[in-house]
Amino acid sequence: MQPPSPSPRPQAPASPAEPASGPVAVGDAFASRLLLLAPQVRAFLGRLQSGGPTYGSSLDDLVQESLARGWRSRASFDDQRGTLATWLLRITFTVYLDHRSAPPPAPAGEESVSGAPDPATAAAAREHLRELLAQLDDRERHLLLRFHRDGCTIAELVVETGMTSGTIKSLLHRARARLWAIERRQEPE
Amino acid sequence: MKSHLPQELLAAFDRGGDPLDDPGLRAWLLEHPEQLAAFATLRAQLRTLSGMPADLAWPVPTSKRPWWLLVSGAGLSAAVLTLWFVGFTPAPSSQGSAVPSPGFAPPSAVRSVVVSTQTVGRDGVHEAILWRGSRVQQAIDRHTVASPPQANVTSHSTRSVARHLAP
Repeated sequence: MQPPSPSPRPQAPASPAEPASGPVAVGDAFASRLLLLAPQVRAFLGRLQSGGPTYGSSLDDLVQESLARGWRSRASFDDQRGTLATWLLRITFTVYLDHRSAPPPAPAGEESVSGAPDPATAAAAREHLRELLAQLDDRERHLLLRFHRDGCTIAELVVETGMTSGTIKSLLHRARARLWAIERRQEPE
Repeated sequence: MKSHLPQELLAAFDRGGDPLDDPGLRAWLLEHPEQLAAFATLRAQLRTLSGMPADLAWPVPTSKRPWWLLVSGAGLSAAVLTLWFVGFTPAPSSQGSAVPSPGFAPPSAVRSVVVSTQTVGRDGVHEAILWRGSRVQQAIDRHTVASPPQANVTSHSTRSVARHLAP
């Protein structure tokens, strides 16, 4: 993957240590717009956390930090360059990356809050995904399961299926794209 | 959220593991924040996939059920209904019923019966109708039409043809 080329993008969000520009005034329009995006931020962070290892940061903490960092960086937002939601998701992503790269906290007592989803949520996610997978072609589903569930490499799948690596990659790409597209169609507008 | 995933995102998962371990992808995502939501969704899906049990039964999606399967099912249902209407083969009677009927139809479904003989003699094949019966007002009206020839017979066979009640 090529490194990013310089382009007019939102400025890097401020670090958590950056002092806030000032107290949030009651009725501040920007703060209100940020708060309206809180559910979207929370859902985005929930997907990021369920998609990778978690290191103990609670979802609420990450949402709060993302909104606070967005508030502190409000001077960098330019609505001519993109939407506020996209700008805030980028900030939220950097918050997640910061927590992801941080060393895992030492085991604590019962008061520690883990960011990992609870078993019921995980089971519901698996059931939902099972319904999505059922809508894929047999070949796509088989390859997707062998690669992502069973940990097979492309080379192993070449031997197993007799297909070329290019065909396997193409089918995997198509399966991922369809999986995502089906999920997207089912999301509420 | 875009309607299509860019190739960079799809290929990011080819290496296996967590694609966010790749600094190049992290930088690409920061450059394309409009793709962040799609990436998070796909990454979460594929992560969940790794925890799926190995023995899963996959339901047939409704939208992909082929039309010919529905047509075949309707035809099969019609055939079953027809067979049910015609009924099962009746047990053969020791004395024989008043109306000979083919083995696949009950007497109640027979409208008319024609019994004929085929006789092969030295002078050729002769077919003679022994009798013809028909159901009129739930009673059998039986008529003897001819008698089979008795001379110069080398083989003899009898057959019955039944017409069924219209449904």
